[in-house]
Amino acid sequence: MSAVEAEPEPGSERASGPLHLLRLLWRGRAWNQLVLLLLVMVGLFFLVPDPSLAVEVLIYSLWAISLNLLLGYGGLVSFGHALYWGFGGYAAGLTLLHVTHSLWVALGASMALCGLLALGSGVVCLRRRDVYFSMLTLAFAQLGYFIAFEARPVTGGDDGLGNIPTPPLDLPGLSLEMHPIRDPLPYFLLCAGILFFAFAFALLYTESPLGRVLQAIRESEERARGCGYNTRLVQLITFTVSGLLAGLAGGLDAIFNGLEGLQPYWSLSGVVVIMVILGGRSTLFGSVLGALVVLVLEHYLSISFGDWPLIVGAVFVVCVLVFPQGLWGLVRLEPLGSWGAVAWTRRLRARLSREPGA
Amino acid sequence: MHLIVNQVFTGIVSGAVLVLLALGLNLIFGFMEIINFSHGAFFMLGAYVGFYLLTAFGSFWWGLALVPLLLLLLGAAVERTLIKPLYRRSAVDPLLLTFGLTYIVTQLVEMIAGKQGETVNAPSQLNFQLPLGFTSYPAYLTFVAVLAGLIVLGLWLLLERTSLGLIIRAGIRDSTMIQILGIDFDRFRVLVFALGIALAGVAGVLNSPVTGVYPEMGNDILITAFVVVVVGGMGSFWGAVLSGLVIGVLVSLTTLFASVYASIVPFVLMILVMTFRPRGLLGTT
Repeated sequence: MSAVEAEPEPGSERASGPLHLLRLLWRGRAWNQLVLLLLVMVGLFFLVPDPSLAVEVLIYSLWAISLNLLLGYGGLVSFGHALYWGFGGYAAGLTLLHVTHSLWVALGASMALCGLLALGSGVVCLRRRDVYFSMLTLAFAQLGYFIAFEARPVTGGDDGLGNIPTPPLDLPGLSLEMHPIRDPLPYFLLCAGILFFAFAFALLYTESPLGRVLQAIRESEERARGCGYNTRLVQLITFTVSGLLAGLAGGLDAIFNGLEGLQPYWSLSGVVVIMVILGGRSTLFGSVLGALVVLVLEHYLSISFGDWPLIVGAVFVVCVLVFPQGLWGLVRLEPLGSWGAVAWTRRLRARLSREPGA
Repeated sequence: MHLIVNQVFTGIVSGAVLVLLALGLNLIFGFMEIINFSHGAFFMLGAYVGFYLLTAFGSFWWGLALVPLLLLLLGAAVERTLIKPLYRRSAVDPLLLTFGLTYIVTQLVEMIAGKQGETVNAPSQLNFQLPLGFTSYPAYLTFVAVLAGLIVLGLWLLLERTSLGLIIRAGIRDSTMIQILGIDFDRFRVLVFALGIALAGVAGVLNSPVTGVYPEMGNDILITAFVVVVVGGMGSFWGAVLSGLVIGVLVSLTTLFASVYASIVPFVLMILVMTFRPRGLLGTT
């Protein structure tokens, strides 16, 4: 990760306005990632035989991206991201069951609830840093888990919230009935569209002055505070945005499955942490890669080997030890022409020949 | 009235187990600046090893005596092979690594011993009710509380009264300085990590007759142990002891009066402490 560039003050003329952001995006290498994302989506569409796996990859990618904003860009390792995923699912499910039959209202409810939830828990969690922060997020997730577990009349407890109806897809001038199981195509396209916009939003966020300050805090919080930035506020905004996106992903998942199940949130949070770390925390696209790799591994390993988490865990441990920048760290795009396998193998060899940690 | 007294005792016993876990976490965190996410996995492993020793030798005491030694060796091996390469990385990497380790250990135990878990009988010598004036209490639980108290006392004497403890305390305060003074810091890191793991193992063995052994047991208790550490104040010895007992008793009493809320109590307490006293009950910074 290169050093943070000196950006003008957030309030000054040059830095403001969406045009400036677009210019930043253009200048940076960020567009490549959007193109890669589209390639992955096309690949999923044509190459993955199981459509529900393809949809799950899209939804988990969204979730992993939301965590990567915190973990990769903010240096804040949240072990409680399942809280927003789970409660986003409940919000969408309950809205569809009891309030309205509109997809957009349900997803809006997920985002609103989880945004608020993240804001509230973020205020407490961000009182401490580093590993304390991780433990606090973990504790909040378990708190949410127990609340969901005990609130059986509302959430269905450990049976899960079932029979969530699938809403029609309402677009201007078009209304499509959706059947995730029988005909997953509309749902795939919906998730792909949402993921695309969320990814673009996250790119803009990380390239914006706010996102740059976030990365500066990761490198040195004291220095960022010394520059006059309100570091707590920047982190809190990111935490809220991250929770909101995770809630959106959770809502999409609950609608897709027609069910919001309940499993301990610490292990569910762990899954998404594994995705982000394995894929590479230094870029947003790494999270998509991580979600893809973990879900595909899970899909094919679980058929032949019941204890597949063992393999995922082992791959993860090796990854933390030897490739802390994840898979994407191995293949990361250089400005020009190192797409090729030559650069990739060279980097791999350099990694392997070096004593780990030296 | 009896019921309340009994619940308080039960709270102290479960609190004592939490204290053993929290002290290990605290020691490792203070000295090595590592949060050991796999602490719960080693707690579970200790309980399982104890269970297998019990079935092999037919006596609970063998498990209680051998588990700390075995886990001491295992802890040292884990430190050398997995933690050492991460010394100069950010504090987050060991957290992630030990998280992955938890996954692996839990899955391995599930593969070998099965998911369903086993019940463990308390040793026959302690299979009676201890009369306490107006009420009585299972002797085994009393034994757990007493032994945990002795371990805490021993650990405190080790830290306060021996030259080894002096080095550990100095390392907790300023690890750079003791390296400058020519102390082989590396060896003490292995020792402290192994000691923490051994404590987790003892806690696992002690707890096994109470809850039985099952692969998820470590994960359930680990998060509460984290809460105990945060509430007591990271790195604070007596803070961990105090908050472990307080949380144990509070949970136990809530179970009696409003069982629905029992699992939520530690987290609510933690949020309150974080809001009004972020450094923890007895924490210094």
